[in-house]
Amino acid sequence: MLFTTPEFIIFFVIVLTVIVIVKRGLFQHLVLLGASYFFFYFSSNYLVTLLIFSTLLDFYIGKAIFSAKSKRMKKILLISSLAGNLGLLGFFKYVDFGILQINQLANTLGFSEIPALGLILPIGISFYTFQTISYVVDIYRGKLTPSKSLAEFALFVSFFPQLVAGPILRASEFLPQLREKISTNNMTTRLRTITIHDKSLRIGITLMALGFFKKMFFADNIAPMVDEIFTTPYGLESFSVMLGAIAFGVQIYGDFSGYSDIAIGAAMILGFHIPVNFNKPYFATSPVDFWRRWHISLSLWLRDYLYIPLGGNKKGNLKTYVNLVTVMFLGGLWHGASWNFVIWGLMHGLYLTVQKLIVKRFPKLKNNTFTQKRHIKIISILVTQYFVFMAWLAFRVQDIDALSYVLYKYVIWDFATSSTIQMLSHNKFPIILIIGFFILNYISYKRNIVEKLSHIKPVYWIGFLFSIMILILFFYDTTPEDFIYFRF
Amino acid sequence: MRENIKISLCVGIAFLVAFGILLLFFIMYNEGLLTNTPITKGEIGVKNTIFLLGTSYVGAINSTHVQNTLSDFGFNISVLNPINNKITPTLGKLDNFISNKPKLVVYGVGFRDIGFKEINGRCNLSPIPSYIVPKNSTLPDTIIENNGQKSIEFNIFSQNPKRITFDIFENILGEKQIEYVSKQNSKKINVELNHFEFDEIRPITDLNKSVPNTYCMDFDTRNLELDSLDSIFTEFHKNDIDVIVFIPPYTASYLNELSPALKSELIFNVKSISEKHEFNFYDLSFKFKNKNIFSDHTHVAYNQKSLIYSETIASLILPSLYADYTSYGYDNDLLLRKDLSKINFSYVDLSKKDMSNKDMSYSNFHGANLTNADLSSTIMINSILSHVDLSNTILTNTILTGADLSNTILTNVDLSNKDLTNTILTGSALTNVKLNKAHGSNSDFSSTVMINVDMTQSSFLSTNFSNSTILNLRSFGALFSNSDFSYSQILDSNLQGSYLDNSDLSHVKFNNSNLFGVNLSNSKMNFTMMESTNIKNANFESIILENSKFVDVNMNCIHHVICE
Repeated sequence: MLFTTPEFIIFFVIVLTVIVIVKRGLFQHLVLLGASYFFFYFSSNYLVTLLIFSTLLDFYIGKAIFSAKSKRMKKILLISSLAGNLGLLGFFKYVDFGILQINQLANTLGFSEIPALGLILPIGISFYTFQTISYVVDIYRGKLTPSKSLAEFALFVSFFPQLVAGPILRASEFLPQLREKISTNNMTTRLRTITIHDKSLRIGITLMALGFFKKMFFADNIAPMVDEIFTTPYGLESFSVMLGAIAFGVQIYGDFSGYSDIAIGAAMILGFHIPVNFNKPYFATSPVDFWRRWHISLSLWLRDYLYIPLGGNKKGNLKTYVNLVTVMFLGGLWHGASWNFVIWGLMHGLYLTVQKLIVKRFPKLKNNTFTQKRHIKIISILVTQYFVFMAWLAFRVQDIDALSYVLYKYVIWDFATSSTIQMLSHNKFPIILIIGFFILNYISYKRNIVEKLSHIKPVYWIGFLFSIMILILFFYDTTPEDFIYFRF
Repeated sequence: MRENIKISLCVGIAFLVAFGILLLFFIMYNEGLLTNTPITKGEIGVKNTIFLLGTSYVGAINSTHVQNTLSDFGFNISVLNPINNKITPTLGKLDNFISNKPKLVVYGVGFRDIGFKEINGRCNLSPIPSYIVPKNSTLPDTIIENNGQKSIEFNIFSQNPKRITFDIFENILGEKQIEYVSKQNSKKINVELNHFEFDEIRPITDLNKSVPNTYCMDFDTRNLELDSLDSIFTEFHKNDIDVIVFIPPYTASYLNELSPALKSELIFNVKSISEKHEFNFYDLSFKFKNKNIFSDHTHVAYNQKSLIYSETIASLILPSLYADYTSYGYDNDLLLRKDLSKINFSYVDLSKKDMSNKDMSYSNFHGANLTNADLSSTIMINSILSHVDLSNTILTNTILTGADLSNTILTNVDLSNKDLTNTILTGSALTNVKLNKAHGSNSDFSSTVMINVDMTQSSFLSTNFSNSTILNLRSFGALFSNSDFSYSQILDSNLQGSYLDNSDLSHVKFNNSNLFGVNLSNSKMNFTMMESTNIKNANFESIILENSKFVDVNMNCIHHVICE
């Protein structure tokens, strides 16, 4: 079920009510677990079996790795877990893509085609497989002790607020939240009772409201303009392409960060802390800074479980660059079985590599007072975002020929304006939203808006919620747009 | 716990107030209190109402604009566009329409309405069975009621808040120049009025690339719907209500989904039923096929920029209204004068009149009836002859240079040797017209239908023939250099020896035509289609063929072709 539907609101209220009524820790966790599985089943039907498979596989392999005596055995078990998880992910996500590439080659060579399997992508598979992989790898590395309770582990994997589109949780951060605290550093294995605290409730609701606002008011109302621009991109003027790139950038941010806010807010209400996934990415001053602010849980996961095991930046410059490009290539591929996502990943890999090269060549740039000046920072932001939005074109435009066209137009400006002006006049509302978005983003740049809003007087807080609801409702189109990241 | 309850109450209050305001907003909008403009001209009553009937294709007609256009011509008539009326369900609502005693009904019949529908899967089209118009039609014993269309059923969950909000904003900001007929006034008549939603124009270049659906013909539906249509027309006829019947406009890509035979058959079916009841019939299906006025392949957008559709409907209505007048603004003695320049003869009945040897330059004959009139040796330079019926008119030695002949009917007219320089014939229908040795540069023949036209040895350089349908043209040795034929169809024609060099032939369809020895050098032929066409000895020098198709054409004799 989509977060932005009445079904989810009803579901969430019911879960909260039952949690409040049922005061015993084990039963609360079982309620949450049942609710999470119901949530997944509602969205994905029989594919819930894959979630169960992943959960059981990694729970028992995690235990086995922990109790294995030899390093060799641990490695074998780790490889089994990776094979199982990545095999599942690879099969459902990439097999048809692979068949398509083989068929294209076969056509060229005159061979007959293999029929595609037409598999449905199980919802959330990219996220929960990464979560379970991180669990097993952390046990292997000795950083984590395995969970003793299958229910506890199953809840970690299937926790419904973040199940289908992240943030990607780490077991080391989440599992302790499920357990009773003895002292600051010590946990028991007993499941703690979930209590809904008023502060968490208020902050959580505020966060959820902002999430709905970003998704339903901004992202969904900008989407039609983005679709109009990119449905047939041939013939677009440079300014139209740039407008489309910016609009898509705002749309995907509103969509994804909105979803994350709803997930984090919902978890917070239930008493769980989920790390933030976005931190004003459109204020990033460099590609590295961008990846510290965008989809943080994924970039940290890629760093800890891919980049560092490949050697990170410890094996010489060339290897560092290769590692960066490899990680971003795989990161792009993770987003979807399509060459445009690979191109997107490679573009970011290139940006990161170029930044590394520049820093290496001009080491004094790093901590120079000149580069800390406000106007230099603004220029850095503008230059960085120019390249970030250029990469969004690759993310959005699936057709490679069309992508070449729009990238060309984005880089080589034609200075034509006639159809751009026409487009602007037909899309006044989305343009206003984009401008409004950047203004609000700027206002919230150095302020913790969520904290501030959560602590205002109740009457003003009602006014805030009412304003959000009115804006969402009055501009709600009855054909709801899917969350973009649901597709991954 | 207490704090949690307080917080929950705050959320609940915000929620309830927001939804309450939304509900109020819907109710006020539905009652027409927030946007709609009431009818200010004319009272709805006997013989001064026109209904525009049909399905969503008719919904795009701006009834208020039509009404205002008619008002400009001095007719105080209310034009109403009742909600979506499929043919058979309309049988159940006939009383509603007839009881209002309208002066006229304008009935749009779309191809989908008579069985040409979207399907999933393949279309197996059987041979086209003929439809026989029933001799005597009566209303069926059990009239099918169309549930839910008699009264407005207000369902909040079916409202689109975004559309309503935008509608209100546009009204407040004064941007909404299209006026909806107020629902409040619908209480005077017992029909619910249309509120059309397809208001965004999609570029015709995008729409004409392809259609999103597979279409197929259901002849059982056709027969049923045509029988119902016949019954409806019978009732209108019985109650002395005149009907104008038309096929609504479609995009070129949609029209290509219909085979010529099927399209002709369907049009013929509707036309036959119309003519049985002596109702006027117009085929507008091709009229705007390449114009930027559509929101999708089958619907004209309800948009300020698509008013040409509404204006066309108004122009179809006007002659019926003027039929009540024997003359308009002139007396018989006027025609005795030699100098009849700069006179307004619009909608005058001048059929069979002798107007030879006169100076009628700069005069306005818009919508006039000039059938069988004698205009020989008359000067009609820069006169307005738009929407005129010139069938069988004598135009020997008539000077038509610069005349506006747009949307004119020219049947059995002899325009041989005429100087048609700068003459506008946009949208005209030329049937059995002689244009031998006629000449004219920079003329406008765009969107014409030319059937059986003889342009032998004529010279029309730099002439616009775009979007035309040309059937059985004879143009032996004619000069059409530098002309624009884009998006035209040239069928069963003989262009032997003609000059089409440096012309725009992109998106042209040549079918079963003779292009023997035709000079096509330096012409643009993007997306051109040649089917069963003879191109022997044709000169294709420096032609760039891009995405063109040649079916059943002997390609061996093409020289100097650059293919891309």
